[in-house]
Amino acid sequence: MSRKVQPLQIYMLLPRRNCGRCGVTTCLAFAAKLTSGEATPDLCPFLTPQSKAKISALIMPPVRPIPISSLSSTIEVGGEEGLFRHDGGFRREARLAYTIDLLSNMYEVRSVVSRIDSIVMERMGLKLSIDLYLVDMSGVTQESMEDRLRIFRKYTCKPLILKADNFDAYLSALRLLEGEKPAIMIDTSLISLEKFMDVVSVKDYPIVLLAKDIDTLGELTARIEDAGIEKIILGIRYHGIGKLIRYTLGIRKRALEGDKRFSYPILVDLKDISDSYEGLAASIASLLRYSSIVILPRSMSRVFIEGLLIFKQSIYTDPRRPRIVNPGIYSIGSISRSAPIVVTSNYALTFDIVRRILEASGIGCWILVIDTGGLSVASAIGGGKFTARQIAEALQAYRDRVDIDRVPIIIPGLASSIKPELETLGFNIIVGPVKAKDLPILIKSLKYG
Amino acid sequence: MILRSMRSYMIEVKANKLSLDMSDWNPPLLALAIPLDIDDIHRSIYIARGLKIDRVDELAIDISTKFNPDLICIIIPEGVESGSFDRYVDLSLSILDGVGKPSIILAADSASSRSILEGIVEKAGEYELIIGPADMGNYRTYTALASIYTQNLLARSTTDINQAKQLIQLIVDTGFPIERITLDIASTGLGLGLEDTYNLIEQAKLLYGRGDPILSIPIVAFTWEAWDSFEVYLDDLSISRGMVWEMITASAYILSSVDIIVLLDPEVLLYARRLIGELSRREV
Repeated sequence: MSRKVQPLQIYMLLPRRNCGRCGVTTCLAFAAKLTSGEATPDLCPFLTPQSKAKISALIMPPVRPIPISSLSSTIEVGGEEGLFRHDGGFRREARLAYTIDLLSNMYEVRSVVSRIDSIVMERMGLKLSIDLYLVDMSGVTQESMEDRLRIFRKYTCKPLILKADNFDAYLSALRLLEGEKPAIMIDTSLISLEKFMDVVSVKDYPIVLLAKDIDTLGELTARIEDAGIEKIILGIRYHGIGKLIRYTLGIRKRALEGDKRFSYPILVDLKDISDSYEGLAASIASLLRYSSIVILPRSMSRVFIEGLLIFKQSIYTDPRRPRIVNPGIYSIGSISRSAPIVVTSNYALTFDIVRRILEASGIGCWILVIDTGGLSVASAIGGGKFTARQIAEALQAYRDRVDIDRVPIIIPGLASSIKPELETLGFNIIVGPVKAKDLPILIKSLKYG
Repeated sequence: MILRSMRSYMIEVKANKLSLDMSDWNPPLLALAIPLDIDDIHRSIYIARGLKIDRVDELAIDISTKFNPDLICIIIPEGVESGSFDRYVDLSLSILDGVGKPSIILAADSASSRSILEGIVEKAGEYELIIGPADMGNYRTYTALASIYTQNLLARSTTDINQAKQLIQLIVDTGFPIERITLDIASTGLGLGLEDTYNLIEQAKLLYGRGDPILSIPIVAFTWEAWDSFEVYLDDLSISRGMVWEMITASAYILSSVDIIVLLDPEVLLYARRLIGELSRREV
């Protein structure tokens, strides 16, 4: 169902000089990178504007990428091209947003922003947090709106989605946020869409169209596309989880079938769900069913948001490209030549779990990372990529830093079958636990050094 | 696949094909884990849910009465002293009789644990259980046990669809009927590679929909590893965080079209049942 452009189609449009200025040695290789989304046409200095436009159109994913920016950062939503996660359908990370009611007391606004911005989860070398804010200006008078928005903008620099109940509020907000490209969320039951179509300056901002169902959304999209608006986000109101996923699936399928009215990222507005558990379930369903932006329920507490941040990071990784860490030896805490060695795979998630558990335990030790091609320990053993020979060779490379002939070398519990072979090579092998969480107890029980 | 308890309470497990909009879908059966040895985490969860924990068999009945899972899943501990063998067998039988629901019984990766499983299966002739987990290293033992006592089998593979298929094929090659096999593709929890299992279930269900006979078997997912995630224990909110982590894990599995979900926290069962209800609702 997903669009398949052949590298040769792109190659025919390239200058075919094989100059290497794009970073790869041949134009055919560059064409392959363009097809897979790993390169952009701008990297070729010899492309004519016409060829560039043709290539851009060919490689445009079925769901167009749409940028939303503040003065300090830009996020891009959309850019997806499939239905299934296992074949790369979840390419560009979805974004989580939280609602700020500008009508509230500004102390309360500051308190909400402070609470939400303080939710940060550190994982796999990244700091995960809420990506953007939906600023709801509804009910705020024109006079106080600008002051309130100005004050709010001092609290956070994250990109914004603006929502208002009158057209003039949008114009004032956009003037105030000069230099930014916030998304504009339009409730067409309150404001005529035509007003936006007539104002040239508004056309450059991403427009979020909110509708109750897919057909209405299609009609609205067609209307504003005709007016020359190209940055569109399809907004879905929440009417139950079942309906939500049927709508989002319907939109994604139509985009993949080439229906241009639906070739835009999806925003799901969950802010009014009052039940925390329903909010959690709806958020997970949105993330697994093609939503590029999820407006989280106001009722959602810290722990729920933390879980969602981790879930979002997990689900939006490309399964075709395993996350890896460089093979080698890593020190944890205060170490010496006689500190024990914990052996693991170079699957980034496995390494991250082992590292954090050992760091938190305060134990000084080494982690020896074996090149398993990004496979977890269990899969690597099954595939013959976590062998005694590999471990022995890796250990020899660090003989100058670690007393490898004497220190305890802890292999994963799942790899117990390779212990005898490693012992015949003269190593002091301990079979560790199956689960990394049990490592600290084992290491603390060892006598070494 | 038919599962049956002593009281002839019968339940049919059907394998789903991938359903992205959850139409034409058999909602997954929800099982609750009953560990024969209750560790600190289990104790904290059960106390938080107002359950009695003095005796495991009473706890199992209490859980079953209050939360009404479709199945229970008895977990045999790993290191069991030889003198305790009969006690664990009797305890398990007492749970099976007391709860009266179709069950999964899982041994740990140790000879003593497997012996207890064998002891239970030997005395549970009228039950139709799922026993396991059979993996690449021990599938012959489990297949023989399930064949002799006419039980169903849980096969557990690594996170690789081809290794999963290979394991099923090896079991089938012993003459064991494929209709009596279920599969766990190394299911895990949020923060520990949930996305990999989600992928594999999605892929397996899609392949089944396209006619792959090896993957026509029910898939089982276990959510309790969510409680092992490092982040759950960042501060004193571990019970809330563990519950939310397990809820997220269960949600992902429900949306993957999995067939049986084994949960640890009874509160998560209520959440999962509600989500399944929402997804099953059809507007007129």
